[in-house]
Amino acid sequence: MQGSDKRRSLSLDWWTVIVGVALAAIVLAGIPVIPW
Amino acid sequence: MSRALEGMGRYIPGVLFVLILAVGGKVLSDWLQSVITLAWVRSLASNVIVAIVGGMAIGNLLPLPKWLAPGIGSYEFFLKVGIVIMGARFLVTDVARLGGIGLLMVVVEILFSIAFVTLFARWFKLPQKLGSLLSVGVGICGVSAIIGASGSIDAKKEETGYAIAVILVFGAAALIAYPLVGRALGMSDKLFGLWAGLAVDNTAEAVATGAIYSKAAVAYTALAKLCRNALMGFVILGFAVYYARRGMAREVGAKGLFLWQKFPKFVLGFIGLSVLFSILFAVFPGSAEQAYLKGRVGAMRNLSEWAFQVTFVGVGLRTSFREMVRTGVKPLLIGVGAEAAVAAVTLGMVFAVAGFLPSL
Repeated sequence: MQGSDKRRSLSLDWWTVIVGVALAAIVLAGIPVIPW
Repeated sequence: MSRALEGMGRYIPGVLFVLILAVGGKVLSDWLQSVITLAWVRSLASNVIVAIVGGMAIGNLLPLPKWLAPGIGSYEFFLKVGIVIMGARFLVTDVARLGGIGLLMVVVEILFSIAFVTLFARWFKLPQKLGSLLSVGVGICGVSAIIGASGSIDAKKEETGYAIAVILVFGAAALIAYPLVGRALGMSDKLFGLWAGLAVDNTAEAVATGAIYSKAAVAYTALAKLCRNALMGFVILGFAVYYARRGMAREVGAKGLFLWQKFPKFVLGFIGLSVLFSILFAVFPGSAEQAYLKGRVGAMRNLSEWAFQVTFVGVGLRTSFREMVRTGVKPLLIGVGAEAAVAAVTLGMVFAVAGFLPSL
């Protein structure tokens, strides 16, 4: 259980990087992510 | 696949709930800002304070259904995504300069916290591992450091819960106390931001404390806090080896792998975007391109502020006054002593290096 928790938290940490960089790329391309 | 989707589905109601509260808090704050005429009352109605206080009120007064809990807890995800995006705002040269000084201060702060809390815990005859967990929580980064350390030193579940509760109590207290002290001392955004990043325990509460002070302060807070987070693995490894040598925890296998596993990956995302945007600004010197890039960085600032807005609601919702009462007096007394000492030492350090700090 602990092992699977560890794996999940590790991948979640990487997901923050993936989502953050993807959002930055979208904004850099000039696409409005948040319109206000 | 369907299991993974099912797992994700558990988060959706709570995430939607937090998002609605975040937008609602911002709308309410904007309205209050437009109708309140007294400047100091208006400053109390900032979007940060409205989100945190609103979250506290809802979390403590309303009986929230259990199925909202997983999604509410996901605000840490938004916080980290917000910090990653924030990397675009920093020139990598500034990150290196400020981060270098920050790392030095963080090393002093961590060593001081661990020594002080360990001595205090011995003095109060607290279980040794609870003392270690508290010192990790105060020295580095609150909840995630405690969870990371508790597995590595085989601490009891109650000790972990206790240490987390203490850290959260002082995180909530910091939201009020630090900005008051900062204003009383007339601290600049830069100095206050660094101080909050060095001294406030949990990343979410540290960012919130910086944001309550000013929009400019929060950038310094995030950078200083990242330095602390980056060192988490080394401190946890130190404790794991210490307890393993005394036969009180499992042996640590490959130490390099251990450090990598404990390293917060969002720090890499932050640095990556900082490097990328520094290169873009250097490669496209034309005024039109520079204006475009600056506009995009402004949009990213807006995006990370929204991610933080979600975090502030989550911080409020998680702050349980009932839990604070249940924590008990002894660890709280140790917490008071440790937090006050760390706050004083880091405040002294920040003022001492004020002349050497670059602006962001």
